[in-house]
Amino acid sequence: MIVSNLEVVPGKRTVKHFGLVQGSSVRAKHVGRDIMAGLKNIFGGELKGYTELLQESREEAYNRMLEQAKATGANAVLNVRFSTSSIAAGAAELFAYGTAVTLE
Amino acid sequence: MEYSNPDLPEGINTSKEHPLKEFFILTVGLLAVVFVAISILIIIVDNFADKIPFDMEKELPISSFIDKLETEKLPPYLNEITQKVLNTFDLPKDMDITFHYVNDDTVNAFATLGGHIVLYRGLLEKLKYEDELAMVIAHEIAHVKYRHPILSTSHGIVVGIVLSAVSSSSGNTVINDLMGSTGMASLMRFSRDFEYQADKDAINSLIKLYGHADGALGLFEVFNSISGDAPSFEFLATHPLTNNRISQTTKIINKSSHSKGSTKKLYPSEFKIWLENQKQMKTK
Amino acid sequence: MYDLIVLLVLLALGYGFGRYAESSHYKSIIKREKVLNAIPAVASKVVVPPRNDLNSQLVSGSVVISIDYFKRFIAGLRNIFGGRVTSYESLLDRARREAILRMKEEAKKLNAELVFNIKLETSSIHKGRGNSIGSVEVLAYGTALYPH
Repeated sequence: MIVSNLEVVPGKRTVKHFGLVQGSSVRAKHVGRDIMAGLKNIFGGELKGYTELLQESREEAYNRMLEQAKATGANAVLNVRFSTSSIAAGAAELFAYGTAVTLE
Repeated sequence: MEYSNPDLPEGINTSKEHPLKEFFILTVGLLAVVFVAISILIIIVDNFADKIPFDMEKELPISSFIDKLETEKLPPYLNEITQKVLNTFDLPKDMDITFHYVNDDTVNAFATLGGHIVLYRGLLEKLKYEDELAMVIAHEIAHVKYRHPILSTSHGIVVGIVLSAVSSSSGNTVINDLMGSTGMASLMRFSRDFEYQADKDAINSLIKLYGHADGALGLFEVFNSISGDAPSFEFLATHPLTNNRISQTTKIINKSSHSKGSTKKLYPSEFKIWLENQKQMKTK
Repeated sequence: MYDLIVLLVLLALGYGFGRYAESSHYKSIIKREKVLNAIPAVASKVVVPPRNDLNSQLVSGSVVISIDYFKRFIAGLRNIFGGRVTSYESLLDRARREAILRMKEEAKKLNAELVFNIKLETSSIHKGRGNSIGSVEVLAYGTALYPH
């Protein structure tokens, strides 16, 4: 499946549009990551634990978007956008959305 | 160009797991983990805490806290009894016990860091027999002998640190309270074990002094008569239920060859008068 | 002891009313989606083939949904153990679909044929740690194309 944040894929023609497909995932941190983050607040540096957490979450959101796209019968997702929002203390929502299309 | 919005299947962006199941697993799991982890932590701490030399305990600024209670010297009768009881114990050389008396209605007596034991007039007034008084004193001395004050203090510090680290992660005050209560429940189990241990030594001390341990039973009966609305559940209480302490005492007495139902020594009248005077002085 | 009872009552209320609200909301969402799927909404920007016979107008729809006591409790527990916060996932799914539906309803009033370039914004509205009120706002906006 072609996934792109382009409007039009070079060399291909869009034949059918299936509308908006979205994937979202909400994950929470756990005590271990939190304590490491607390220490990093003193020493500085990359919060690898949080980076990993959000990466996993983003991958899951992305896969859910592709799942919705497959369910429509499309073979590509265009105009993909990502968004991160903090929902409550300690939980962030990772959101991916785009248009499912059939390319030729 | 065909534009359409087909029906999308449900359940891609949500989970089918039943929320109640998740709730039970997480809550029960959390409380169980907290209880077990804290119990293990306390056992580990105990291994180190009683290696703290008694000299260091004595140097802690406890005396300033005790001075704030307005303590006084013991009257000669109390001096005599505390000495008698002390002699039945085999304390290490550097473990000195300092007794304090407070002219206050509070019905209590406690042992704290550095070998300080405080007796309140309120408790002394509630007792009638020297045996019962000796039981109180022996019980407190036993706490010092087994280093219970420094152990309890260390427990509290360690548990506080661990709970605050986990609490800062959850950010939900209700969950923090729940974890705090579970931590307390775990701590209190150890506190009650200490009480049972001190009771045992105190009973042996009574038997050495008087040939029987009726003073212990008498003391617990006094506790039962005082406590109006004592908790019926044990799990958050620092002391075991009085009836449980009576059961342990009876078991020990039955195992030994000593008699039950013997006569106890009454307070001498001078002491009773002295207690009355103390009370008058307070109400003036 | 009383604190525990109050907690259980609040949790039960949150769970009971929350589940009811969620299931009735989902029923309404599915019903309306079946109707409004007639107005396709896409994330693409360029109209192909160029439809010069249509006018364009920005349309938007937004909704704020609150978190109930039960969901908040579970989220707090998840903050200790980590993992997917499923209670929030359903909340956000509802909010997003509702926001898109409201945007389409605005487009329908214009007799629109299509809605292009949909964008979604999510924000949480809360007072801060511990006492978080906890509600989520989703805004959906796009350009509706309607005949003259």
